[in-house]
Amino acid sequence: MNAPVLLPHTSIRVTANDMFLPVVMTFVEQSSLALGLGKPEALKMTLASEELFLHLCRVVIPNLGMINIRCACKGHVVRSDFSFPETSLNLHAFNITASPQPLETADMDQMRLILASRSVDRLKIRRKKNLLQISLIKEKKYPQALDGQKKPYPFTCRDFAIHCPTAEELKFLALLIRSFYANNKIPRFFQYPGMLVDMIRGGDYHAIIAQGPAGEIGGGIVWHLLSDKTVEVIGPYIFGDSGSSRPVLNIAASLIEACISEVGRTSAIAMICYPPESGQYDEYFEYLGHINSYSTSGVQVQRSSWFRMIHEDFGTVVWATKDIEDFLQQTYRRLFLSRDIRKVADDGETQHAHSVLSTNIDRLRYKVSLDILWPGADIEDNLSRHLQLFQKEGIRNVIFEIDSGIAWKSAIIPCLLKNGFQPIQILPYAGDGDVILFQLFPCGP
Amino acid sequence: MKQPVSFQHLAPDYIQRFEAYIPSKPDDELKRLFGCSHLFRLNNNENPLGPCLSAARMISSFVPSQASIYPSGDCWLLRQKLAEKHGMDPNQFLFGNGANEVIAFVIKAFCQKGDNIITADKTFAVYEWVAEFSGIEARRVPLKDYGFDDDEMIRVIDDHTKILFVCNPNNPTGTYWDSGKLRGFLNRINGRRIVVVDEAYCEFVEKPDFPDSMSMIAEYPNLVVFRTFSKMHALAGLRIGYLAGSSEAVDIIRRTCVVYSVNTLAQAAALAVLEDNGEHVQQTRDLVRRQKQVLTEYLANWGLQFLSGEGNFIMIRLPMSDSLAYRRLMMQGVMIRTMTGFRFPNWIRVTIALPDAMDSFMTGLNNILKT
Repeated sequence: MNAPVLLPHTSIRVTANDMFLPVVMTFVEQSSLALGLGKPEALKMTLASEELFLHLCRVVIPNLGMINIRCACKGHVVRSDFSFPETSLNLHAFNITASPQPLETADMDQMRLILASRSVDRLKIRRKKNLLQISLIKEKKYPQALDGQKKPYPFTCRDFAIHCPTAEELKFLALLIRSFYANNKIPRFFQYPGMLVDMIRGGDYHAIIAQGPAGEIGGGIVWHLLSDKTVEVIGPYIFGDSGSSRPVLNIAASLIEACISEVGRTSAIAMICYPPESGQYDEYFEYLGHINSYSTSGVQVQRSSWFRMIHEDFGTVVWATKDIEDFLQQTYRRLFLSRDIRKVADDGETQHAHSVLSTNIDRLRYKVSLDILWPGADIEDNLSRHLQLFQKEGIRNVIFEIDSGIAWKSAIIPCLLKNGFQPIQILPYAGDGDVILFQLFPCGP
Repeated sequence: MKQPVSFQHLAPDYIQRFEAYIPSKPDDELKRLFGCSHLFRLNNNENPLGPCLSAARMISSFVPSQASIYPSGDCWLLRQKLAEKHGMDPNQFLFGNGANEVIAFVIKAFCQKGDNIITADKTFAVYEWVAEFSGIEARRVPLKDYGFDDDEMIRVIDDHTKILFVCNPNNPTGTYWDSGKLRGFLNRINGRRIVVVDEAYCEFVEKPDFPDSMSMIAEYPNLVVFRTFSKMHALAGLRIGYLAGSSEAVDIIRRTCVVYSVNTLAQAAALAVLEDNGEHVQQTRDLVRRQKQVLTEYLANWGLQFLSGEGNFIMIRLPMSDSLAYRRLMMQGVMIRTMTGFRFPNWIRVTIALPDAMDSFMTGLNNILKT
């Protein structure tokens, strides 16, 4: 893999008391600037931090608990993580919908977490070990590529070698991808070559290219760790002449093989691939299914997903309620995955009063991913509040991820179904066990 | 809910980065999971004939009361026997709980932070793993024509290189360095680094130009040879392997050796193997030769690419993900080894076994290739 570069970070530890708000704001602003955000982006990050810190002080950690704040640059983004031990929390207030008033009558401006999310590109709430963490993520601003009219020549060489690209080669790779593929087939970062270079330098993303003897680029592939155990593959992108399919296929296969070989001895146990074209991947990947989503302009986009295991599969336990048993059986049969499906049910045992949902809002894609962090008797109301909020925010694509390796998470499946979610896909080993994706329907405009 | 506890901050970076190897579950559990009534294990290159008759007798005659007594801490009898067999000194041998343990002995003995070892990118992974979880850099040289690339291994040596690992014959490709090539390599290294030659599969090799590395130790004091009783000698379940080297090299390695790690039964069975008349080795070689012939003809009929070199295994390239092939074969009661972890995506490695197991594998492969 491309060698990761150690990146600098800053951190402070403060008491959850709003008298320290100026300290926190100054820290976040100065850190953001030092870590590479431009002035406007740093101010937005500061604004989001202000809302978040006030919310934590006044609602979440009312007993003067301690908050760790860490700002770090991950190549193309700056991230501010606010973390604290879960024991000090008013758990209910950890939901993004937390407000002093009922949602129906609440002033959205009092919902500080949602306010914070508006100023950044992504807001993530997650539980990590015995800590709860809210992350604010802001992308650096990069100039968009301005391509000339002339399309680069297709790659016609039969000889090529696989290499890690230099920064200049990465930029040329991005140009080739924009030239040979429609905009809706490629991730946004290929429109911003500088961003691509920083993503690779940041160490989370990796890239390889197929290069001819004179340095010409015939194709490329990018990948990164999506979760602790899953690698996401982006590509391969091939720049051959459509009349000479054999070299093109060879390049695609060589790039995929090199990528798989690189990942083969890492911690990843599965790869998920969203290829830009159909039909040439079944030798390496297995078809998982597709998800329809809606772009900001209302256009429906269909995204097919493929996967492969990196290691031998020794099976795993899947906790689920009987409502989705048919879906599970059919999907696992189609994928030849052996699973020990165990039933989980609400048998009336006493629960916490309040549930907590993790929210990952991706405003760039008008998408939100939900997960349950803490079970509680109010889950139905809580989920309903979240869905109302997303509707108000105009977020059309709502996915709920259930980690079927954790029994109490699967116990909320009936609640999801009741609220309009349907199981659509299984991501093998994407969590403690397989992650079952539920999509909210109807999801269109 | 239970409060999670984390000790991550106590672990060195190189341990935090390292992912634990997950061995397969017990057969009964796998059969239940995959819904199969039988299971042919063609994944670990075990010898389906079992141990030789004398070792089998030794195992079945093991007296339970011996279990309460510590074993010989340094496998004294075994070292005497090997010394006698190879005309060497008993102090030139060190035993471990499987050859995997002796890999750790050597790396711990010679490497410290900042050092590196050199091996191939597509070979037995444990050299690389032990180095990495010991905080030592593992430099991986790409195979050349599926074999270890001597020129490139020498090219990547630097001042911090301590050990070069050569798997001979190579697992999983079955290629090997002949006598001339190994000697040439050792000459070029010129005693400046430790050269480990792992001969886990040497007993399967019938080629006359395969090196007699034990006899080369006298000439090359930096040469360390690994052998195991797990493969040809079918004592994998007892975990016993050893290394041999010059007294000077072994004297250093012994300092990192955990004594008493080889149990009494393993020592007794291994001793019986060393005293065996060699008939078992010949029977195994005959079986491997015959079944390789059957399998390679079958693979050629399907037009599948394969590598059939030295050792009791064959590598096969499939037109599908190797992990999918694994699952589909498991559902038919056949367990193979996927090769993505060896950096050979879509290849599988199949152990050569008895005819019923090989038939079952070929039938299973037919089924998945047809659909």
